[in-house]
Amino acid sequence: MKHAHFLLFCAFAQAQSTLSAPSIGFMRDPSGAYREVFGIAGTFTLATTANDVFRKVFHVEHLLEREGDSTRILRSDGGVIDIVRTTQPVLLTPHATVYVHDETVVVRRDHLDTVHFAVPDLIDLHPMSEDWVQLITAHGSFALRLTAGHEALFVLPTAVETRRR
Amino acid sequence: MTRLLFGFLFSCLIARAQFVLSVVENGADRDLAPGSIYQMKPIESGERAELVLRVRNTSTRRATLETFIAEGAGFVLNRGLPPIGVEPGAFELGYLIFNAGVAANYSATLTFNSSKVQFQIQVSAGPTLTIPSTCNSPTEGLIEFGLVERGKSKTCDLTLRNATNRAMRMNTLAVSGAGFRLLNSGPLPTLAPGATMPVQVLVEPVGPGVLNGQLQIQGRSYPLHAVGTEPEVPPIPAPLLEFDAAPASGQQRRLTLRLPAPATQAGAGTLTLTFTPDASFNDDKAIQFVPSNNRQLRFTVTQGSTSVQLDGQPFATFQTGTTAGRIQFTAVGSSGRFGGVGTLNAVLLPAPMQIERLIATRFPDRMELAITGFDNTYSAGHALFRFYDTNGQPMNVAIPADFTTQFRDFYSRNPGGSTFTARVAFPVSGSSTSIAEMEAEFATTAGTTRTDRLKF
Repeated sequence: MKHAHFLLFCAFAQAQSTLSAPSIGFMRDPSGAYREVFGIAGTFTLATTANDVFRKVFHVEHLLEREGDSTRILRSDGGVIDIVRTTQPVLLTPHATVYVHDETVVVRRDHLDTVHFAVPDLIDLHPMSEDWVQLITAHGSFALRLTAGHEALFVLPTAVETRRR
Repeated sequence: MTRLLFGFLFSCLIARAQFVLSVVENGADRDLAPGSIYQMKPIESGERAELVLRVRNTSTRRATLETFIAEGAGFVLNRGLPPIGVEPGAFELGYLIFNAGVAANYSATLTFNSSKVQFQIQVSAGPTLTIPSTCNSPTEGLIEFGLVERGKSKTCDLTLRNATNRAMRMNTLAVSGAGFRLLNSGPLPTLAPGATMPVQVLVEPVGPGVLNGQLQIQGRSYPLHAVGTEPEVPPIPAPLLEFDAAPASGQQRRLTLRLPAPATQAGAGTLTLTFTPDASFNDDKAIQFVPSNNRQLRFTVTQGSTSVQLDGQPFATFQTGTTAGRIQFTAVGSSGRFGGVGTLNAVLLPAPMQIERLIATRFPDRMELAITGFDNTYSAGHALFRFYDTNGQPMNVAIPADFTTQFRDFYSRNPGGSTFTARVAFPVSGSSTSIAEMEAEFATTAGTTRTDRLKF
């Protein structure tokens, strides 16, 4: 108990805070460039300039195995989660696998309920950050929040600024 | 000398006899002897009579028509201007016109060279036409229908009266001219002295423009006039604006526009979003329509529909941002086709800090708390932290902290929204493993937000 008192006194005396603008991640704008999205869910603003390159490596739980025109989504132990057409986009993120089945976006995790979102005319999936995926459709872009239990779809603004060279 | 005088008189007789006057009746000439009287058909007051006359050269030589005139009240002779040379066998045409005035007997003397023929005509009183004030005009005798919309009709109720003391047989009652129609039907009556009969003339324009016609009563014509217009379309009712749910800060909401009644015509307009922040806050650039990324949208309506399209969609998605204030939506139609402006306000009330994400992390030398959220009052800073041991027991009293200065600095450097990610570090000396959980409170002018217990 003495130790605990000592520690909390230190916290009281030295608690430090740094503040920054929250980032949702990077979306692909219509020109194909990457543009940072700031804010929180449903309150997005876009960076005024685009980045030419966005690289981020995620640790993922699932694996993909292509065989002919089919793609098998596998757990790390080799168990098959689902089989989709190779032409359909599949995205592996640290906490979920996102893929498309019959105009429905499926968010799949081990040991958790699978979540579905009806998204017609989907063109591509794009990782924005560990918790966000961009859905590029014929009707605009959407941000899909992957946070377990808080999955939701939001409309993304459309970037109109020119790409930075 | 005697021979010369005789020869001159003979030549004069030859010259006088070389022209013959005739009147054309049913396409044939009827010769009129000099000194004769021609009785024209009787007409009624206001009517007009016309005769076609020919003065024919019956000699074998070219002759000159020196005189060709008609004298008599109401008569006019239209003909070439004498002297007129007429070849043998040829003729000169003339038109004797009579416009009937008041009821009386009229006559005129027609002279061609030295010959004269008298024309007589009897004028009796015709029926009297009364034009009602609804289709009267300053021009005498003109029946004016005025402006009449396409697809609609207007009727002029006229009255014919026999003001004479003798019976009057009606022979002619007709209407001519596109768009005009006589509503009377059946055989025409004989009007007893003092009797009246209604005459109904209708105009029904098929399009915009001037319509001219004639109402023929006996021998008289009355001009008909109307102007066809396009129907005046009632304005489109002002759009009604509706939210899918009451907006608050930190949301995406849907705005729908609809008409309270079907659109009377096609139309378009602009929907504008205006944000007025509370207090002295700055504008919040996140408050906008998405995905268009601006504060204006075009809306359209189609005739007969109550739905309104917003940039081609049935609704508009907008962000409410993270600043307390008031959003006003204004739908203004263009081209004056709308009967009003549609407006709707959303009040974004000051709210306690909203926490979007909270991550607590233990490090060997410190504990860290990452908080992502927003404070639409821009008054965050005061916080309270509680730590718990592995048994869930409080390790000490709540620890206050004041980050007001940091938040102020951050918002002054990042205007246009109150979202933030704050990383709070608690340095420790010794082992931090005895700390198992923590919770935090954040106070703003709108209230206090308390987190759940977070496990390290």
